[in-house]
Amino acid sequence: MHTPEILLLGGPDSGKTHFAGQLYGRLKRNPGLLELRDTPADLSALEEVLHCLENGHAAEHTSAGTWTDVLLPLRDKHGNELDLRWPDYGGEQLLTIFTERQVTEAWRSELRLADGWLLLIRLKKETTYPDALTELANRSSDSNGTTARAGNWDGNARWVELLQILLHVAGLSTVAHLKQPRLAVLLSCYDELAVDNQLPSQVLAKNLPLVSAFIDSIWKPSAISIWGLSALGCLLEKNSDNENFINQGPEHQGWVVNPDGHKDADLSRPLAWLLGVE
Amino acid sequence: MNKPCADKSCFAHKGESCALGETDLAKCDSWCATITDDKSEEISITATTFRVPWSGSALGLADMANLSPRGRTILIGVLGAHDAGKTTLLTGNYLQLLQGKLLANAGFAGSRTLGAWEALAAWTRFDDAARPALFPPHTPRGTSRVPGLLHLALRNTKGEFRDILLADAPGEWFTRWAIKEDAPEAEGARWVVRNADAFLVFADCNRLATSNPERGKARNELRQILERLGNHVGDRPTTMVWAKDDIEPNADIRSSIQQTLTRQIPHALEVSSSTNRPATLTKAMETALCPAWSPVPATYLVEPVLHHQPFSAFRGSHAYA
Repeated sequence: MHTPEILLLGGPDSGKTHFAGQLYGRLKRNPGLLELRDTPADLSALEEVLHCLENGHAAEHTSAGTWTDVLLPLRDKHGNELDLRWPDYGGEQLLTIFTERQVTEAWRSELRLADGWLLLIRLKKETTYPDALTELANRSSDSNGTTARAGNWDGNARWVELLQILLHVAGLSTVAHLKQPRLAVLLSCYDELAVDNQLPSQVLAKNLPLVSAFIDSIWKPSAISIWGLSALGCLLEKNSDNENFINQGPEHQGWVVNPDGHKDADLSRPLAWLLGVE
Repeated sequence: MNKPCADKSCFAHKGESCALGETDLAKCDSWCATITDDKSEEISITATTFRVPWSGSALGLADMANLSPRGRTILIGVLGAHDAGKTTLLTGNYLQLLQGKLLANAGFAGSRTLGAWEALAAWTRFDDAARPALFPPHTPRGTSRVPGLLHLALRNTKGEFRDILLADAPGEWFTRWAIKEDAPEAEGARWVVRNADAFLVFADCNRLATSNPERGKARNELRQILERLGNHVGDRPTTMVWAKDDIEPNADIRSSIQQTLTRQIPHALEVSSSTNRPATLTKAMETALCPAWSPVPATYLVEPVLHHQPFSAFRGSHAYA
């Protein structure tokens, strides 16, 4: 049996854990394109988040050093069986790759084996600077200060540099269009954004134009898809007790927005696309 | 602090990947050759971690070796006197790409010098009230023999991939080079002129304006650069950029510069740019970039007709080519 590998890439606070918890609930109790054949042997990685969601509040932050995975025995609607290892880790690890510019052996082998990359970007958390060049021209500008400025990188540049590092370490050349690994970009916490009838790809292009241009230049169009994701459907706090979650169950909350702009309750759709299940 | 690797083109001690591709530096001969007998010196970069061969800062000659094998690289030489707006034009182009705009009908496909771009762009950003935004600072005159190169990878709609290298050299190099071609401090300028695929020459409208007492000096500097470049440019694409064109240069000065340009570099194009209109910054870059995008095709061999008999057809170009 083919055991596809998915690499989940998301910084701290991008919603990886909630997505994993909600995905499990969907696969098990409210299946769509994909469903679980059996209950996974080891659920300890998801224990905490599942417990929190059943009680209608947000899960704790995954600690930085964590790397666990859950083996999900899946079946698609044609009856094909596949095993998916779903990783969960502290998002700081991704930050460390960016700041230290080095990738550990464990990460490298994941990068090389992965059939698909799942990129979780929370647009609300990205720092971008609006183009200031025109405003700047209107100011008096004769004095060039000498103090060095340390300012943070633009979110665009940060993501591009991170992707470049990952691509290089994975041994992938960017000169020709990439077909493998497939790339699914999930714009997480989509409910936070004011999107008026825009496709997720347009939302990405508007908020992170450089990242969008980079992805379009590097991957073949058929190997990219961009989704909106709201794993919970609304904002949960650590101390909230959302009635809908408690009464209806978390498996009925949350949605994705398909690349064509339609809202869908089946959270496994981006995964199914990555695995080539249609 | 680590000792540098015995291999001069390797920057493993700075946290980049090993030039020979060893993931475990202890196995690399060049790296081990630098280790002294002093056992107390601890090397912190030992674990088998995977690194990348670029640091994000401006590229040097050794870094070009990593880029040039992967495709056509286009080196744009940016020439002009001190404070003519060279760095501002480059930064402006990066800021336009950050907005998702196309450059020369091609989309952004990566950059090895994002750190350097961000450092330049940081000057223009209003992120802190205590540090007002400014134009990028003056590029320092270093002792380096080669300017820091800024890199952009672009891919156009036909799927053609190009590495663009932009030579952001200090203006003093060119002013010096214009006066004395083999001056030791103009080594960098000579390198740019020898290797560039296309040139952008900057005229600073602000300094050429009627109200500026230095306009005569500015004209002289610019004409000297043009006259010097005329000896070397050949048929490489050249663009004269009238930078800061929101200020009108003195009409006589302008026409005298244009005369020099027509005489020295007849094929040169002229564009105007101003930070008030960011699109003009990309336009200026495109004027240099587009003609250099594809290499000049080789010309056909024409066999001269010596006798009008097929038997006597000249085949020399095949025999001795």
